[in-house]
Amino acid sequence: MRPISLQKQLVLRLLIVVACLWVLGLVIATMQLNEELNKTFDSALQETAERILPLALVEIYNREESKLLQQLPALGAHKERLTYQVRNAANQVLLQSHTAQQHDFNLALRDGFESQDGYRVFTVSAVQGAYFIQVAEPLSHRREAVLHTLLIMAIPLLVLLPLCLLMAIFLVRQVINPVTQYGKQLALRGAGDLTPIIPEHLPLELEPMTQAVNQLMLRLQTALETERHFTANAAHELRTPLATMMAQTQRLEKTLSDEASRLKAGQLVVTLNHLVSLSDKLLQLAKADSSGLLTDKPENLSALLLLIVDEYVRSGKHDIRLQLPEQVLMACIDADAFYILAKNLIENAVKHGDANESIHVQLSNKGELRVVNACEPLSAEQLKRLHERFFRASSNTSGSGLGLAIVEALVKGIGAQLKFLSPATDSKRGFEAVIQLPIQ
Amino acid sequence: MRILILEDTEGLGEAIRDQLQDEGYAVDWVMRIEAAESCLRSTRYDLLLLDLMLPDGSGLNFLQKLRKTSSFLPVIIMTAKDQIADRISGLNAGADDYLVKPFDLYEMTARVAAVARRYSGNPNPNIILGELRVNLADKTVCLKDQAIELTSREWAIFETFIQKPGQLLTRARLEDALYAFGAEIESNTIEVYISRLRKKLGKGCIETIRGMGYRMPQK
Repeated sequence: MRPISLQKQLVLRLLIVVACLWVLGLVIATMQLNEELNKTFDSALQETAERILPLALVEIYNREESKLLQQLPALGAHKERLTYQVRNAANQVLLQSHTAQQHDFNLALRDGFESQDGYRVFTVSAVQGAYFIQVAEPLSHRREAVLHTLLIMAIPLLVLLPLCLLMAIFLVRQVINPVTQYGKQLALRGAGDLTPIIPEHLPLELEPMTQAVNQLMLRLQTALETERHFTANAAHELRTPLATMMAQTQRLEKTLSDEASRLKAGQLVVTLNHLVSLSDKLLQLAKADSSGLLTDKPENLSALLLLIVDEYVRSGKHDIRLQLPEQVLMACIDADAFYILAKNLIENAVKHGDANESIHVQLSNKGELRVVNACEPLSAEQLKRLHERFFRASSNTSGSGLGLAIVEALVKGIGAQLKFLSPATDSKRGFEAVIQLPIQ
Repeated sequence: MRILILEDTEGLGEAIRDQLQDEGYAVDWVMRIEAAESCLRSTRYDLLLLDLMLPDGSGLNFLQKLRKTSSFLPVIIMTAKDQIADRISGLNAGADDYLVKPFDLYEMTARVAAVARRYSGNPNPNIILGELRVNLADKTVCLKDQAIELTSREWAIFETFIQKPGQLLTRARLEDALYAFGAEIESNTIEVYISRLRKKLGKGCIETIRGMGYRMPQK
């Protein structure tokens, strides 16, 4: 599962909390508003009833036929919000506002407020319970007022919410930025760089984490150093007895007069050679597999390559053509790692290349190392399997099948790119190994 | 050619010594720096095979000290230290070649020969001197396209001359080249071999400088 970004989480949660609080605020405000509005409307209803009642009674008394219903016409056309009617104790309607007829208020004649059929009704009596006035107001009117106020309150909230989101993103990003920078700083480090990181402006809460990371790097460095020492020591301690064994066996082979014994001694030399090469390769592989192949101090690759090729040229057995870039090529690669890398490529070219043809070693200005040898082209299947440990493209040649696997492990360790081509570029035959080195 | 080996591993030093002796070189083998210093004081060597980790000190320091005395002695380091930094410091200290143990004895002798050739001023193993064609690597001599067979002792003397054509070589210098073949060098040994060489390669091939020594003329 892909981890969710801290920034996204913070913004999202912040926004949800803010929105919820706002909605809660709105609900509480609505309830308060409802109550207050109800009180106000009720009071208005009561006031109206109490004001109209004496006037209505005067109207009724002044009538010739007091018990007849009288409907008061409207002075001008208008929507009646408050309707009223006056009744006597016998429940006879004596006076009505002009729309009151449409509503039949069959409420008991009892003083006070009552709600019925979507209306709020206030009843008040006069003349010792002989007359009652009932003033009604539709409840929808109140609901509308509440809704309207609610809408007015919600509009700024809807406008402010996106603004709040933008602000939250901006602020969270500002706070998270040092953490992101720290992460990038860690990621950008070369595999060999194990020096402590001193991050700038990192929040206090993350200090234990950076300390832990630095301590981890220190422990890693110690472990790597121990491993490197072991590899170097093991190589060194093995070499002298192997050299003695090899030299003595070669001498034995030479001094033996009996042909059969000489043959056996010869076989012993071949086996010893294989053992020497295998122990060499295994130690190289251990080095290649260990990290710390990158260094803080850049190394001169041109000079190293010259030294390696010179070693082959000195032995006088191989024709190696070296082509170096015009400018000095520097890279933060461990000198021994580069030595092992180049040596294995050249050794591979020597072993599998046609004996009479030269090997081309080329280092370009852009840090591309090419080693080309002449040979019959390899099949696609063979090319694919060359990376495998202990794989040998040809069973005729001696070798451990570890050379190119070592190259591959080293290439991975130094963050380089490796390509095997067969036939070689601009040729119908040959084998070419191309490595793009991380130069400075 | 006289070679000094400074190697403290017994079996290895012995094998190297025997191999070089078989190739016709005069060889002294010592196991300590102190002994090497005393050898270098008393004898003139043509090459030093030097191990780096020795019981009485560092071979590298010994080499650096040697180079300070403006010695022209060719030096090949042979060591188990295979790190690139070791190679660089070895070569920078003044070594002419760097052999990492374990090595093939034949490769070692090839390198010894190559370094010796470089010191003689001509790294090419093929030398043409008038009608003589010599291959130092194969140890073959042709006179007027005719292969000449030389015994190993004759070759030891001849090689000393061919590497320094035109130079005066004293009897002691030539005796050093023969030292490898045992202690039976008598007063007339050098004369015997020179007369044999003259018989095989022509009278004018080696000149006698009376009272001083011999010289191979630069034709």
